[in-house]
Order: sequence, then structure tokens, then C-alpha cells
Amino acid sequence: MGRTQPSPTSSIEAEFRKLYRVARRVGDEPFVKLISEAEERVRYFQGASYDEDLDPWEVILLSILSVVAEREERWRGM
Amino acid sequence: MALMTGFQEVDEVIGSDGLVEFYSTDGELLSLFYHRVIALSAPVDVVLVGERGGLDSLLLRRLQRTFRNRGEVYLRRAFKAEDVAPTIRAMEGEEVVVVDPYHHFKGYSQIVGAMRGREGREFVFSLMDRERRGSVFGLHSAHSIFKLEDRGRGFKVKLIKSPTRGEVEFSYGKWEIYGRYERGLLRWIH
Amino acid sequence: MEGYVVDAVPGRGFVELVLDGFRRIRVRTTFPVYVVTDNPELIAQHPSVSSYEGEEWRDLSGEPLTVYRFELTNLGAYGYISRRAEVVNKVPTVLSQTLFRLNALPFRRVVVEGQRIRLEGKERLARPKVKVAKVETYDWYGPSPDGDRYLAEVDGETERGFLRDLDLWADVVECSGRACDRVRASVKVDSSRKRSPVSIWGLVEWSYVSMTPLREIAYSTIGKTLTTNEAWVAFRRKVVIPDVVPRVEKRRTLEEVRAADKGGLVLFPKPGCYDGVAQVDFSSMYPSLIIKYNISAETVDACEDLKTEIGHSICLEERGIVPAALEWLVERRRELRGVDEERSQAIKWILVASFGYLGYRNSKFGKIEAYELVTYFARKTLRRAMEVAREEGLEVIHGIVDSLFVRGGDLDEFARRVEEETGMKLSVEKYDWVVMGSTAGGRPHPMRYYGRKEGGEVKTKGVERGNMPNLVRGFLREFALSLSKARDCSEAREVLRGECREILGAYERKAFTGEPLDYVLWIGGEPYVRGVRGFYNARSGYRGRDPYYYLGYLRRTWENLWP
Repeated sequence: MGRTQPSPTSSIEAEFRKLYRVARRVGDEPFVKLISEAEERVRYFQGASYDEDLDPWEVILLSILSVVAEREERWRGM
Repeated sequence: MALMTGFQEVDEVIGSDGLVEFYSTDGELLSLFYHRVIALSAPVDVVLVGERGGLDSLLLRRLQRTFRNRGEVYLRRAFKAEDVAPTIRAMEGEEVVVVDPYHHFKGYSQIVGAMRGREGREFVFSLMDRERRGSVFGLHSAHSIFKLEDRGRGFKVKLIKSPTRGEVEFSYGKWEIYGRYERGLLRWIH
Repeated sequence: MEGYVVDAVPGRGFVELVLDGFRRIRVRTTFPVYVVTDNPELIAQHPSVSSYEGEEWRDLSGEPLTVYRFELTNLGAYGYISRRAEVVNKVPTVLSQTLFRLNALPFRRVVVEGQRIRLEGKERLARPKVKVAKVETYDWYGPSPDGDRYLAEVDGETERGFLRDLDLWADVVECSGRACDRVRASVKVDSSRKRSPVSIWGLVEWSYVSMTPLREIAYSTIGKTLTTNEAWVAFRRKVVIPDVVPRVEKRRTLEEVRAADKGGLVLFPKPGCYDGVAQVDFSSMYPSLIIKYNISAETVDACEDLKTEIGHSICLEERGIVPAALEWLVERRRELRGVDEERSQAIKWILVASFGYLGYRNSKFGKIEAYELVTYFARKTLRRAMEVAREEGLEVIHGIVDSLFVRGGDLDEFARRVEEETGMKLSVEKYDWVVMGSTAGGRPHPMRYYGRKEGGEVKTKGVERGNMPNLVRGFLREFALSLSKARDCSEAREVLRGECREILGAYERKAFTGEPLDYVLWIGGEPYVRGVRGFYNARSGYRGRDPYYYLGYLRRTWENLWP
């Protein structure tokens, strides 16, 4: 836990809340669903990037891309 | 870059004052405001007073990107009351931002003494009602003093003390804290 | 006269030693006070000053410093001088410094011949032969200072009864409230004033290692005890121990601070059940790192013998004060383990606090850069251990600060390599199965798990909380007991779906039909019950409960257990 900067967990949560707000305003339901799936797995990326110099939104981006990659794999498998 | 708020009217009032204090009882507003000041004024030295928190590097980076300012932000933290004065004295840079110097409610004379004794300019941000708390000597020593008040979607910057102006207040929208400053001001500062 | 030093009472020109069995003996002495001053003659004018002497000491950064030691005939003058001059070496306490000079160390066996005191006996591990007791009084809701029933533990024997019948004597007693009036002891420790989680024998051990009378540390925090131990190292090296240490942090860019401003490595495991798991812990990781890398306020950035990626360097020219103190404590704990768990645990508390204290703003021998170095090495060490695990074919299920959960591969080779590379000891605990718990929403949680150890006992972590109602605790106990039958994940799932559900059902009914004691929960040291109109203090008597509150609590607890 850092002394000065906010915890990575709370920073990531704050960024997600922002993302949800924007996605809902746009009315893009599939995107909201994508974000929700990304949120399920973001902690694993958070843990893996602990020593790297990644911003919270970069971690979220990785998580979103991972969901997309998995879907693409499944779609290809069909 | 020189110390500036990026709000033209406010910076005009400040002019080249050596010791300027901003205070507010609204922590979020004050924090946003000084993050903006730091982002605009970089390269700049910052003294953060208190045990925890105070600076959000992500927010700062975002603001600096908006303002296209790549200047470095140098930091020293003063965790307890006895650390504040020596830390301020140790900052040799020209321009210093001091965040919440009276945080511990003691050691005022040494702290103000350290601020007055420095060569360069200081912008001080206090999270408290300065009419009731914090150093009175600090109020006397400041050349100009501003109070920040939350107004829902916007906020007010009230001039409390100034060598050149009487009481006056400016209103801004909160979104303006994130916005770029006007080009005119840039010309004026240089 | 011979015996164990239980207490010491300062007098005018003497100290009265209290030995075991209430025996007392007076020894002539003066009391030292150290002052940094340009006018020693002025202070010497105080009538209680019998003599003074200038001494060459050093400050924390190694610079020479002249300090004056004044010998006082009476401790009352200490406060007077303290208020008017810069007194240093306030820790260790004046009384303990006095006893140190006299060889009258607390809880050691001494022989007093006239005015001379000799330390006797080489036994360092055996319990000092003093009578130590603990007395607690009870009311219907649990321990209470006003209760009329008592439970006493004396020399391993337990005794119960009504308070009015209590008649007890001991050298050292821990008591609460009215019980304190009914016992006779040289040193009484009031339970309600204790600020540490240590037992009474633990406090005796603290007194022993800190060389400070029990009376002076009975209500100390762990930090204060730690500081005393560190201060003795400084004192013996003639390094001045200042009152307050103003610190100026190294000037760094925000990015540099960001890279170092982190805690230990914390991962988030995938919720679920795992078979054949081993929990691998670094024993006392933080103290071990402090010792290994010589991390102390005065060694960090003093020179560049060891450079690191976060910008701080460590000087290895002199043994740091903090590592020296910890090294001794680690050794002491190691010796006590297997001999006396209670006293070993008391030392463990000091070691556990040592890291946090390095970064504490008021710590005399710590600073933020030292703290950052420890977390840096901790993260690096755990990451390296994870790499080695993968190299040895192990699957890493979870990692948190100083502990890894792994399975498969060559566990012994993995442990051997890690111990060799890091120089730190590992302890391995094998589990038949482990469930990694989740948050309420089913998301991964870093510190919630339970599993069956090889041998059958079910251990839980992050499941039981301090302020849980007794009802929920009871449920968790039966839950753990019932799961201890399961030999693997599929059996565990069966038990969870079957027997555990039934136990939950039984406790859900208990939310409506339980005993008053079931509904008690402790918040901030006070007992409460949740009634229909909110929480009320149990001390005023049982006045009913809100069954739906307890039902909800049970259900939430259950949801956290099975993802």
C-alpha cells in the first residue's frame, strides 16, 4: 500500500465507474457487457503489472483486450 | 515555468507576489486546484505535508498532457510537524508549492519562518478555514490570500487579501480546472 | 540476598529492588540524565545534581557530539531539567539505565552483597522463577471488569469461583477491575489499560529483553518496546538517542516516488477449490530482509555500497542499529520456539511490528527510504520465488507479500533453490485442498481462503472477523469441523452442499431461537447486541435481539465462503 498515491485497486475501480458512465450514455449495451467481463478479470492483470509502470487505465485496456481476444478465439473455433 | 493557476484573472491579481496562499474547507476542490497549479507550473518543487495521500500522479499526468507541459514535478514529503520547516528550507528550487503546511496544527513559527526565509516564490494550499485555524503569522506573511468555495458545478475564488486590490471574487466551472489556459496568459508570463 | 528482580522503585539516593516473594533491598545509587548543552555549570546548580561529566558520543549520522551526563540523587529533578534543557537518551528509561549500571536487570537472578550486585546463573531460556498469575472477571456476556465471577490462571493451573472468595498472591499479576483489589502482587497490570496483544508472560519476556522494569512497559505499544530494544544498541555504541528526529526526505521526481511508494506484492487468485496445494512462507520476511540488507535510517543513502533500482542505496560499513537489534531478537525467538510458545510469540509481535515502524513518522531509527527499500526487496524476492516455482514446474496459485500457494512440480527442489538464492528460511505447509474465497460479488479476493491441512485440521484466513457475533463464530467453527472430513475438492464440494448447508440451516434457526450469549458481538472492546431498534450495549443487560440482522450476517458470511 502506498503512502502517498491512491491504491491501484481504488484507482482502477474509479476508472471503471467512469467507463460505465460513458458507455451507458452512448447506449451501447454490448460494450457495457464487454466492460463488465473485463472487470471480472482485471484483478489478474493488476497483479501481473504490479511492478511495471502501468497506469490504471492501461491495466483496464489490457483486460478489455483479453476479453476481445478470447471471444475472437471462440468465434474462430466455430 | 513560473507558478501560476492558469486562471487569467487570478494570476493577474497575484502578479509577482512572493508568498500566495489558497485555502478551502473542501478537500476535493482544493486538491483538484493544486493539481492544476502543479501541472501548469512544472518544473516545480512540491512539499507535501501529512501522513498519507495528497498527490495523484495519474491526475497530474493527465493534466500535464492537456497543458502540453513535460516539466518535472519534484517532491519531498513531510510526515510529521517537526519535518515541515526543515523540508521547506531544503527545497532550493526557485518555485515551491507547499500543500497543507499547518496540517499538524503546531510548529507554526518555524514553518512560516522557513517559508519567509526562502529566496523564491511559494504557493501554499491549506485545507482548513484560515479565518479560524492555522498560523496567523502565516496570514500576515502572505502577500495575497484566496479562498476557494465549492458551488456545485462551479466554484468561487475569493480574494481575501492583496497588496493591490480590494475584495473581489471570480467564478469558474469545475470543468475549467481540467481545461487549457488561454494563450494570452502564456504571452503575459513570458 | 538473592532472587529475581521483579521491580525497582527509585528513592532519594537509592533504588529499592523488589525481588520475588515480596523481598526488598535498598541499593545506593544516583540516576543519570544526558543533556546537550553549552552551559553544564548552570544545570549543575540544581540541588539534586551530585556530579556531572562531559562524554564524547556520536549523532545518528556519525558526527561527534559532546554530551553531559548529570548524576541525580532524585528522579524528581529529571522532569525539571527535561523542561529546561535538551535532554537526550530518554529511551531506554532512566530507571532501566540505572539498573543496567547496577547489574540489577529485570527478571534475572541477582545476588546482592552489601551494595554490590552480581548477576547469577547462565540460564537465558528458562522462565524466571517468579509467580505470575492472570485473573479475569466475568459477566453473562463474557469478560467484564465488574463481573462477580472470576477465572484465575496461576503457574499453569486454572481456578474459578466467585470474586468474593478470591484470595491470591503473586509476584506479577494481570487483572481487571475489581479483581485487582483482591489480589496481592508486587506488580499489577490492569488488562483494560494494556495496549499490546501480549500475555502476561509475554510482558515478562518484553521486560527481560528490553531490560526495563515491567511496570514501565506494561502499557506500552509494541512500537515503544521495539524502540527500547533499538535504543539499547545505540546506547551501547554511544550513539545519541534524540527525542524527536526531524527528517528531510530525499528530493525525487514524482515518478521516482511512484515507483517506490508501494507495499508488498499482492495478487488476486482465481476463486475456486484447488487440490494438493502447498503454502510456502518466508519466515519473518521483513525482519530477515532488514537484517540481510542492513537497512536502518543511518545506513540508507549514507554511502553507495549497495545500489538499487528505486534510487536508494545502502551503506555496509557499519552494522545498522535496527538490523543489529532485530538480529538479536530473531535469535532469541528462535531459541524460545519449542521451549515456551507464549514468550516466543511476544518476541514475534515485536518482529512483526519492526517493518511498519521503520516507516512510522515518529520512529527514531527509521525513515521512509528504509521502509521503501524493504518493500522493494520483498517484492523482488517474491517475484523471484515465483519464477523459480515455474522453472521447477510448479503452478503458482496465489502470492501475497511473503507467502506463495503452489502445487505440482518438485516442491523440495523449489524450496531448496529459493532458500539458497535468497538466504532466507522457508516454511512449508501442505494442504489436501484449499478454497480461494471471493468478495461478495464473486470477484477474486487477495486474503480469503480456507483449506484442510495434511493431518485433517481446517484452517481459515480472512473468513472470521474480530467483530463477528458469537452466533456466526459458532457457525464457522462447526463449518470448519465438518469440512475436515473432506479429503479433496470433490468431497469438499459435497460436504459444502450437504452437511454445511444443514449447519447453516441450524444456525439460521438459531438466529430466532438462540441464547443471549449467541447474539453478543464485540466492537472496540465493548459488547453489543443488535436489537430491533439498533445496537445496544450488552453491559446494561440483555434486551432482546433482531433475528433478521443475524440471519443476514450468517447468509453474507456463507456467500463469501463458497464462490
